[in-house]
Amino acid sequence: MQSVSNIDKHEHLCACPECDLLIDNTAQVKEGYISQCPRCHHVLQHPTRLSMRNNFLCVFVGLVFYFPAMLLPIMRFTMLGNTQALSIFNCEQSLFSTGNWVIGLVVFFTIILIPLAKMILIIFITTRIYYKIKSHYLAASFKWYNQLTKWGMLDIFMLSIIVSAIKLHDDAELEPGIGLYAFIILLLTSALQTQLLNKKLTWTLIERHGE
Amino acid sequence: MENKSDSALQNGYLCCRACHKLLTYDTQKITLCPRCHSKVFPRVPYSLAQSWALLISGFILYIPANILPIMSLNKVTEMRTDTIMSGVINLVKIDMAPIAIIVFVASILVPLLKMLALALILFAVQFHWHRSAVVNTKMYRLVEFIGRWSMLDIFVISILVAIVKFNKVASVEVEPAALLFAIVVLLTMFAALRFDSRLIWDDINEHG
Ligand SMILES: [Zn+2]
Repeated sequence: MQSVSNIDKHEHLCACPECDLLIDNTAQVKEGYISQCPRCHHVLQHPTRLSMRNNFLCVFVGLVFYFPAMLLPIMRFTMLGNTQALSIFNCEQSLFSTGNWVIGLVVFFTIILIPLAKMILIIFITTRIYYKIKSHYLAASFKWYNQLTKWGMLDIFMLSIIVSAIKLHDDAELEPGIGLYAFIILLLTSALQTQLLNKKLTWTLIERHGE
Repeated sequence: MENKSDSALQNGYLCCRACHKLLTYDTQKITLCPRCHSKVFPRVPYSLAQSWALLISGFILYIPANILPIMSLNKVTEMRTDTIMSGVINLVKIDMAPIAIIVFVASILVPLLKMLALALILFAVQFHWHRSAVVNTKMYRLVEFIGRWSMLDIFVISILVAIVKFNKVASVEVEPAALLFAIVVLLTMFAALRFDSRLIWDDINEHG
């Protein structure tokens, strides 16, 4: 392990995580401003637009709409007098019941589990930081959150709802369900929260409250 | 580039890949990040080899994924089996050209270009090609950003299977290529993830 004094001496320096350029922090990274690596133009820091409290609120709204989005019908499909409702939950069910468990698992992880896990982790992290509760799990939680962000695919699922609606459009009648609106709210809050979270600031705060 | 020894590593520093904290490099032992408790290596170990392995496996599976049928539609009046490409052509036939373009880009163009771009970057790093590192980095970022959108077709099929379920009147079935294609997308996403983008710049760090 590094001694603390050893690190503090170099606090004005940082390295670009994408090209490993050593950058003088003092000139480059000001809180609340966008800053880029001068060599590879990797964005080192986005301006802070979402405080810990607003991050929490954003996720809280998402969490309220999560279960309606998963369980309620996204659209209804009527063909020759028969009506079929589609929700993400029964989409999952029919994948498993037809034996497509690999694709079922892909949908389960990218659409159902990872968005939920991300929200729970953010609620855990933001409440700890906001109320200054010390926790050993903060760093591990945020590490997991950053890994999972790459694998959440709500936005792609939204596009595929549109594509499949257009594909079915000719064959039968389609109408949107309540689940669709809940899903859109879940998608928007999730995208907003992921985009506006200041990772650099969060890591600094975690370092302060972690041990 | 202005100065020669620009990289953090050459100046005796390590950057934690998980939390981006700057640490001093101790060559004697494995460094643990004091902030996030990850093991910190100068560069991701076996990054190139793992990326190659994942990319080549993805490329091999990409061929049957495009030839074999991806889904089939059984109706009373007709039975139709679609490959990825024939699905796109069908969309054009029912005058849905804009959607056909989206599906074509997401399921055919993106996976292919992504694998070619990644292979080019890996070749450039492996054989020290004098290609522009800025261009390579931009390409890598694009690959990371667009790769996941190829899942589009898989999700469309999942939705169709769940919604077109009218016993004998009409039903949709998932065919083998869907599984292969999902695995291709996952493999190439992992290949991009395992690649350490700092390797692109190491030649420039050394030779200026
Ligand atoms: Zn770290």
